Amino acid sequence: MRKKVGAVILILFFSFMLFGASEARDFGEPEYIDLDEHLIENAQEDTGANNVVTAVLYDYRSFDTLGEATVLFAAIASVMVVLRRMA
Amino acid sequence: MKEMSTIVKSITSLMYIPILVFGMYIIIHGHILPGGGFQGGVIVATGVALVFIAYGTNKANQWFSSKAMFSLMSLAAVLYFIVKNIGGKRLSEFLLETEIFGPAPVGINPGFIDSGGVLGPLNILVGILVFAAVSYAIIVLSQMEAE
Amino acid sequence: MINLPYIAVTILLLIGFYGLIFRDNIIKTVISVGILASAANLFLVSTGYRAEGITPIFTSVPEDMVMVFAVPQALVITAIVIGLAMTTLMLALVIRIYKEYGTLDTKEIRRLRG
Repeated sequence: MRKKVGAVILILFFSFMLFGASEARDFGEPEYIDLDEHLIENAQEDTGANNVVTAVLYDYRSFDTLGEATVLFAAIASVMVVLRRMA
Repeated sequence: MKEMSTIVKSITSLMYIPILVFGMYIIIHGHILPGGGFQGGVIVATGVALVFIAYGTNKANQWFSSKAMFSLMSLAAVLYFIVKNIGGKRLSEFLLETEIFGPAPVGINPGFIDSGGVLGPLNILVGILVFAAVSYAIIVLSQMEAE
Repeated sequence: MINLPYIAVTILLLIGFYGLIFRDNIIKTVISVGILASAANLFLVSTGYRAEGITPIFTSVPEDMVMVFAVPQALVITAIVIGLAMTTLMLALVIRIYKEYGTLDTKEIRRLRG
């Protein structure tokens, strides 16, 4: 019973996703380019680094890296609680 | 896990040091070449997994302990929080002016290591954090015996 | 063949959901969740591509080339590490389930004992 309902829903979902993938914007021609153009032109002068991706990760969006360090710490602490008897 | 044959053990004792040096090279050159803290930390943790596979869990536990890895990860997380929040703007201006980690020339250039402001210490701290976290997961998950 | 990366994302989604619904082993469930995470990361990276672009790094690149966008690549680095932490926690729970029930079949585990 579960597998028949799952098969029907899976086929509907797959056809809807294929229709959405063919109607999307062309691959390689983005439309809103103002933010990234400003970041690529001014990253070397503001931060002093050659790598634009590292400057975005640690300077313009450093709070996302702080949240990611928190997620790593929470996952490792949970592993330590679940497997307690084996050190 | 049991230990492996003599050939695997001797090659592992030779290959552990170049893997460590390669991972540190990718961590430190994070603001010049593609890479950074996350990628280099995972590469250094691969070397720890290699030692655990080749030498068996009984002998490799004498070299890497799980409690030291957890303390190292907590220390790196607290230091990253302090360096970013308290010294975020003032430390980067200080480093950019007194030319310890100075500014970079504009345009296409061969990279210089002494550039980037506060990005240098942040890369190293995140690299230590990711290495300690993945090593702790490998040490704890490899001690389970099938009873 | 237009929009080939988006069609690849839909194929990966189909494979991930098939393994999640139709298979009984717990290890196959863990692998299918990893495949779904890879599909999401691939979609996020392929939205920031410009035609014939190079990596957004200023160290010794040829002159007069356009650069690819840099913000989606920074978000995907974070998402990959979060997927690694998720897989680690799921495997730790699978170890505890195996020590408690003695089997890895989800049809046996459904009846709660003890």
